[in-house]
Amino acid sequence: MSLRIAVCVASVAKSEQLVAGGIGQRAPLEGEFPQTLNPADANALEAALQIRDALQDTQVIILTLGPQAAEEALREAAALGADRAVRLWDDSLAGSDCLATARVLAAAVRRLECDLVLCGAQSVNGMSGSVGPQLAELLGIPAIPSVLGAEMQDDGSVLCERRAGGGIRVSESVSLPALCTVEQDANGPRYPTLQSRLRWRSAPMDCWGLQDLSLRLEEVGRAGSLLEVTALLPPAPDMRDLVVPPSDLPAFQRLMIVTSGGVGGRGGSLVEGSPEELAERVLDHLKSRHLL
Amino acid sequence: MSTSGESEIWAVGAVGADGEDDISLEVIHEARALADRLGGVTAACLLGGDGQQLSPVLGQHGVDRVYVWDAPAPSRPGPDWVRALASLAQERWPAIVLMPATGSFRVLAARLSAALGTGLASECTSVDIDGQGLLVGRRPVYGGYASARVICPTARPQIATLQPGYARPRTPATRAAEVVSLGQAPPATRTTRLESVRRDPPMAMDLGDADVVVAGGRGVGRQEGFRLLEELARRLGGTVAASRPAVDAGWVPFDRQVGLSGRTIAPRLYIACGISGSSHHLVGMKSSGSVIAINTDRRAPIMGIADLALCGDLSEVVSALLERLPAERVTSEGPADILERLGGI
Repeated sequence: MSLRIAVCVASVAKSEQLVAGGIGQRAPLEGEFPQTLNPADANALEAALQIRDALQDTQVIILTLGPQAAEEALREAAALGADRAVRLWDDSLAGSDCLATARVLAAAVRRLECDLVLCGAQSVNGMSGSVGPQLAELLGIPAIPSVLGAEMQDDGSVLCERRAGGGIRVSESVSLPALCTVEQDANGPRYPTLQSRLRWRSAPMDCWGLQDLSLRLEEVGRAGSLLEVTALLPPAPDMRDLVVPPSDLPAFQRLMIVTSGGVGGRGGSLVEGSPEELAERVLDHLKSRHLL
Repeated sequence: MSTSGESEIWAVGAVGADGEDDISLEVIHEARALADRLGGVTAACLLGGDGQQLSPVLGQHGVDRVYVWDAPAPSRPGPDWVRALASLAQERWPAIVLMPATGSFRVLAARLSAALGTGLASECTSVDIDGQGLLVGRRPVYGGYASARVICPTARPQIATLQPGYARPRTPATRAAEVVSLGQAPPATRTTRLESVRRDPPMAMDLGDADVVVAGGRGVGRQEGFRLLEELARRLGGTVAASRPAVDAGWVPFDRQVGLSGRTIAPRLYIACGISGSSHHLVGMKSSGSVIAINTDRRAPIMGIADLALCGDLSEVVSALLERLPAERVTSEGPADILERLGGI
């Protein structure tokens, strides 16, 4: 059985440098900040490499949409153990929003005939988390979100462990073709060997443009992007509500409100007794609130 | 645009059997506010569930119209929802579609935007209408060090997902919600097979994710004391948190801190052990569903705000409680329920 895995990665600017560079007041300029591999994408790649380690005849192909500057991150990723790396770019692809990016990636995945697509859950620059599921929709395949680990099974399906909210983890199997978005820190990405670093340092890189991907000019790049950023602002204020008591109350009551954190009583009861009695009261309470 | 010329603002979300689901309500209230600014109507989209029964509840939250598909039970977002919503959207052309930025709704919103070829403003912390009548989403970018205002000027509908907990509380005026029946729901298509379900151990569970939180403060006395709390959390299927003194003492890591300088959480059950309840701590947990406090000082502020305030030694009470609890939390949810909750994507 031969398996072909596409790992979609993004080249991002490091957050610390963005802060020092005054992002929050203005947009970063092209090539202004050193680029690196998006952290969650390194976890997606590691998940792919673990599948390849366990299964013979598996190919891992890394895809990225980005200008020449993105090649650094692509080589960095490829050195971790990819079989092939393709950069998707020509000038008409510049300014692609999430959906346009997903269209470019979809065209590449189709051309490469990949069975499994792995993406990082979110890029630290755009923070939308939508490219993965949009790509799955365009390819007409299932998308498994919040994946922590993926494993090929004998019947050709993938067993995914994922977070399901409420502290619950589920294992689900899905038939191929399918797409998984991998959580950041889902695994510990390996280090590149010196050999592989040197090899990918100078290896010629494939670069596919609009024609190679059989895409139309109007569906990608700036022309095909529907979402427009109108302003870049400092972070939105934390909406954690601070307690501001009404100014018409007497000082004593205002002080009471402030010291109680604005939390009113819940009409609860104070119970005293032996530890056993108190424990019984807790059990009754949990049962009455359907918490057991 | 819809044929009648009115703009519809859709709120898509899971509504619990009783029609009360905080996350959905936030989305519904925001949809109402946008509709008021646009002079449009608010429509809630429900796949399954009893529309007639839910419409008065939704009407109370400012919903004008309820779209409902016939399905045996309320269902969670899956591929069937993408098809159902996409085809209804192509018929009604709503101006705006809002969803919560949680779980499978994130996937649903992204898939819907790709299916309709329109823009998605995901993970918004606020939404508004600009001078041109366009939806403006504000969303964090660059690792949260900046936020961006985004619009989708040409394509329709404008889709946005809203992060829970950011919306201003609103009290919309009650309306009579009209129920629009859309006939048989599209067949649910399950693309994945559930193999196993398990709960994270307490210290691995994300604090914001947990239904049950057992928190300890200065009164726990020492690091070893937290083992007892961890065991209680494990039995209840929850996680462990702490107030600042316990974190400062190095008994628990900082990512477990609840309060002004830590996390703000709202679990279904919060058990405060040896926490006095300073205002700095209370702001971080006051939205919890049910609060139990165990403290030796009956006059501690936490005792005044708890649903059940127990005056006693926490290690004795917790030990007595552990003797009475089953070794493992028996979840009332079977795999099928959990699958329903997750939705097949």
